Amino acid sequence: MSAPYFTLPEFKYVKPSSLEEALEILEEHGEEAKIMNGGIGVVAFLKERLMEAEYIVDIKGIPELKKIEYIPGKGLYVGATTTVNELIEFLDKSPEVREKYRALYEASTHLADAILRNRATIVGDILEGLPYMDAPGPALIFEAEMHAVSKSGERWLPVDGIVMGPMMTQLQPNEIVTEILFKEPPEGARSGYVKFASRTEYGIVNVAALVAHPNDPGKRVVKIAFTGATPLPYRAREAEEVFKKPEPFGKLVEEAVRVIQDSVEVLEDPYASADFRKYLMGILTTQLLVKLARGEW
Amino acid sequence: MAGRMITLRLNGQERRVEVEDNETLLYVLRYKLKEMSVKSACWKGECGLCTVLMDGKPVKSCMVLAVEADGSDIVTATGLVKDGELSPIQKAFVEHGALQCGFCTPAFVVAAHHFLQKNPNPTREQVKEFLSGLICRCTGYAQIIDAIMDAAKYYRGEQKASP
Repeated sequence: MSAPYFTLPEFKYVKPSSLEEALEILEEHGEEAKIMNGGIGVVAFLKERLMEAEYIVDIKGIPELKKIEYIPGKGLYVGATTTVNELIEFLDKSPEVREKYRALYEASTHLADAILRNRATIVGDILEGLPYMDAPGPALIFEAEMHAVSKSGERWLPVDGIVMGPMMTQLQPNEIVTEILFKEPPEGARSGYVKFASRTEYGIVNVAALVAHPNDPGKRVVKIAFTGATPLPYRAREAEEVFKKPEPFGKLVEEAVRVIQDSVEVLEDPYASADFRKYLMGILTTQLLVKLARGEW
Repeated sequence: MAGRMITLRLNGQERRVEVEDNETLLYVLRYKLKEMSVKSACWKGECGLCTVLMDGKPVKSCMVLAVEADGSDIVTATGLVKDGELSPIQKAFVEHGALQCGFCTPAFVVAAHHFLQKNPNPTREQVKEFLSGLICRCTGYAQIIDAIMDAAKYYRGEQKASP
């Protein structure tokens, strides 16, 4: 009974059946209540004694949080309790939507493992806040926003900047995220995702990128985001700016990669050195951007 | 802390058990309901050896709270045995020698059963991808993949289970 991960600290489990009920609980208990969905993050953090909670609020009983809907022109809405496998199945049945959100699809099929994906959620993957997650990169390149609701109101928060560290977010203790919106990609865009994993399921460099009209400088759009490489999900905005120059795409890729390697703060941990991560960021970004521009991704 | 009663179906039988809010499903299945085919190893969602089917889908029971399973249907490798006879996937594991120490086998068998029901015509690559959340330290996986590819014919309905 004393093995490190065997036990969880004591807490009271509550499973509200409506959003109103859940918001009431959060309003009453504030920071002492923690929201749980698939539990991949929360149960692990509790076991490692990295999280304490008086109340664990299971939101799986709230019907309206289970949702997948694509609205042309607006984007793809994914409910907070929609599992990653449910998203993959939806996209498999809707190839046109899948191609629009290819980076999200690839990240989803590489997230954790096929069994954990029956419980893991996209929203949970982003809010867990560890550096190595898969969903934040695609969320950044599709300019995703999360819908947060509390008793006093509602708001849409950009995913860029929502996470400040493991289990640390911009959300208030009385707020529940109900869904995430992946915005409609620019016309003519292709996107992709590359995960370079070590022996664990954690990617040591994950690149998500989107390219539209690579050979037409006037209409060209490039978006690039990383996880795994940096302490927080990183949207490479300076590198994206490079592609506004009226020069050939291939030449600008080289310059953009240099901008990334010169400007980012890169993680150093037992899985990979900072130098190796920078090297991978260069190679993987170059390959992904060139393939997207050629239509090979 | 006061416990609470939960009811679940375990391999087709209704079971009532008192659990604490902070107990995992793995702990309750193995140590309270004595379902010993559910193995306890890493306790952190990595090895997958505590995998059971919960309402038809494989989950790692060390990462599920027992209270969450209230009212759910749980199937383990034991539940695949019908009238004392191994199911086709279990027989395939035996025929292909897809085990050495056997510790991981119940998890592989129950997960593979789910996988083949959903995808009775898989490629080897798809099988490998599906198995990425399960760890076997003896066999090197080749025989496990052989067994699953072979058992697929039963799930496609091409062959009835042998008597």
